Amino acid sequence: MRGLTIVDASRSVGGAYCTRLFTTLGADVCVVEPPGGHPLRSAPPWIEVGVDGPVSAAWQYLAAGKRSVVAELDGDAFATLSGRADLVVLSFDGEAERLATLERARRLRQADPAAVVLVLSGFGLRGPYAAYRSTPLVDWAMGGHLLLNGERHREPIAGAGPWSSYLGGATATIAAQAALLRARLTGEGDLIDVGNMESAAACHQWSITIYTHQGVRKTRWGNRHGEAHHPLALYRCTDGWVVVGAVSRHQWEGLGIAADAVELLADDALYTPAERFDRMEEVDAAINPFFAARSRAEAVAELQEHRCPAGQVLNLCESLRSAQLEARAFWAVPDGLGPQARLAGAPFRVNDRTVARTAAPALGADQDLVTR
Amino acid sequence: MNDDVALPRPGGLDLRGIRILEFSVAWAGPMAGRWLGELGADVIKLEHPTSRGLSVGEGMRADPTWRRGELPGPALRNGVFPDNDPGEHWWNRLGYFNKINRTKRSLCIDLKAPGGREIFEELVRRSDVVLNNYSPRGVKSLGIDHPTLRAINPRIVTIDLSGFGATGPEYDQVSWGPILEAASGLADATGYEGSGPYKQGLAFPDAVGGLHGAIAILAALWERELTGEAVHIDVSQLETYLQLGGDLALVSSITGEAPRRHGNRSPGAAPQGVYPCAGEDRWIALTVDSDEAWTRLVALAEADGVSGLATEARATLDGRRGDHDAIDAALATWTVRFDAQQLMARLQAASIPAGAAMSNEDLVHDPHLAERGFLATVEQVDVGPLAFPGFPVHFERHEHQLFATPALGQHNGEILRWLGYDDDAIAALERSGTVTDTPPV
Repeated sequence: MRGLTIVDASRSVGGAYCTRLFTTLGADVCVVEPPGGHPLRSAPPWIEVGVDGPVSAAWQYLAAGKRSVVAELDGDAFATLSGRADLVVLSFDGEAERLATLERARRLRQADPAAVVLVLSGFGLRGPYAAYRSTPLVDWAMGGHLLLNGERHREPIAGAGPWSSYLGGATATIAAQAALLRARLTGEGDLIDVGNMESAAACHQWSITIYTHQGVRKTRWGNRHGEAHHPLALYRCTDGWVVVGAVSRHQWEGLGIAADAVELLADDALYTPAERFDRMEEVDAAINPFFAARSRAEAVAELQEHRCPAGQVLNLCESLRSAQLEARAFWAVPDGLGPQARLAGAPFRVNDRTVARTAAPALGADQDLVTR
Repeated sequence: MNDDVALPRPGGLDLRGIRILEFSVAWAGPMAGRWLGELGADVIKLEHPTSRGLSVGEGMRADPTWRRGELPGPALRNGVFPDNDPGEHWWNRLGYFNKINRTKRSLCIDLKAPGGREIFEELVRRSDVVLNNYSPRGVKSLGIDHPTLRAINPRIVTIDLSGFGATGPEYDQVSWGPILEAASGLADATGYEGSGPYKQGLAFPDAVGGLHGAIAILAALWERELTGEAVHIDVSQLETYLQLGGDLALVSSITGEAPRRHGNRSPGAAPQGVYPCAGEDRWIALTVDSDEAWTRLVALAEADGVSGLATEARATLDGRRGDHDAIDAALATWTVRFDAQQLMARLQAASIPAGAAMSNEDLVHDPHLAERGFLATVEQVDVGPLAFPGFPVHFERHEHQLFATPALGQHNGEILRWLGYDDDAIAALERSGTVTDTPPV
């Protein structure tokens, strides 16, 4: 999205991820921060990179390549910056901020009808929960994903990061891109309202559909996939875990042959994936010895040779050393964080063009933008 | 933009005038296409006659013993059929398929049958984007790779949305969402304290890949507006999923240590957790994000007769983190007395971030989502009106569109006539099996 100027006055993970995506796509993004700094500057996880104490890895990742200006959102400096922007990104949490954001968005739209104003929040600008506050864990819960993760006999667990909030950021990016394309052609901007709850609810596989179609309440199945498929699950090898996805007929056959569990293949009923789910203990008892006798790499190689989808459960250090990601030059070396530091690269490249990966900005590093 | 369709008008659809050809299976590819369709693009789903599957459908009959609310028997379960009834045309009643393929047109065509390739190439000439989520091997085999398509249409945008990307030593690995989750390192980072790794309950990487697939298409269209030339984007779903863990990866790259699993806790807020509520499998998630929020939480609990929560040490984040187990135990005895939704309302009224762990049933009946018009009822061929998850964005000025998933080959005639085929030619294509509206048996 080269040529776009974006002012990011949001304070949320979703807002920061949205504008990170625009940065990786070539847009010029300026974060407008309060005098005390963006809240993500103090958000976990933290890294030690200098003598000034820990800094936020979340901020370093999400703000990489952006500019920073310190300004109050109702002052002249913000008005000046936003007046030059193609897209202004706002966020709110709770009723007082919601009312202020609505007013701010209206002012921006009145000042420049061609501007696109994007507002992110936990629940959106309107509706019974609009005044509610949210956090990444609340986003996991309210979007319906939390309840589906973990063991049935225990509390459900969220993923290891604010990923449900990222769904809101990605959803907002799509909406803003579409509005910007259109604004370029028609000269007409828009006000866009994106709530994380709704964004996450729109990212269900068939959970909502099995309720509207059949009245079935979906639950969680630990490391198995649930209801209609098996194996699409984790298995323990000698040196860790692998995940196996024998979903189709030929994949099931590949698994049976690789695991030397031909007695399973002789049972016609087990060619139905949901039948395998209902009889998962029996299926797993037959294939567990295959995994228990092999390393992750050996098991995956044999299964893939039989075109049965399988992969090693890597930890992040292993993922950082992945030959696949290395070959695609995915990990980037950011400035100023030490020689070992690696940042996730862009999610994709437009015509294989790489955007230079600079460090996150110091607070107010680009203050001269206001007067430039 | 194509010159044979209307350009955008003020207040209308953002992507009117954009035509997208979609080859896709499973979830990520169809989701990307659906996004673009609902933003106004004309999305033509090119379906092979067997693409909706045979193994789940042949000879199926409704189960008269099934009752609403029960998990269907294994023979019918995968289809997610309305009222668990496959009906006569089961291929048009697949709930999982109809959820993700709406707001598209369907051309059911065998590209390798007589005349199939010619039809496809004419469509490419008249289109802006070709999207696929096939394996790189499948893309080459079908002749839908970028160099081939660019030779047909020099302004074409192509998006390849594969599991690992089109290059690298693992490009040809077959994969599903959970496999990408495992390869990312993020399943390993997820879990209860002291447990092994956990995958997500859903194929989360597919949803993430679908969203980023749509972002890629829009970025490519922007680039084409700037240059006037063809654009190709190779999207690795693994790389899109790794975006979620950029902060964790940065930490691991510096420390050389993989993240420790921490359940629902946070190093930056305490207490934070998921606590039981009244009823079966009912939970509330809450985050105490400041010392003041802790004081308010204690006041609420004490009003309900809970004592001993407040101590001097717990007045600070470090103190609460050090005593998290005991705080959790005490909070659980309080939260379990209440309905999750009612407790959420009380906590939120005290400005404490809290949310009920919503089930699929809860989402369907939720008053907030209802007021925002999240559920969409669409009239489906061979099904009738049914509710689906809707469009999650609200534009003040612009519109979105949303219509039912097409029946298999529903738009064969309409599209072929637009390409210049007359009724005799279409009949010949049907006789040769090049186009059809029925899967082979």
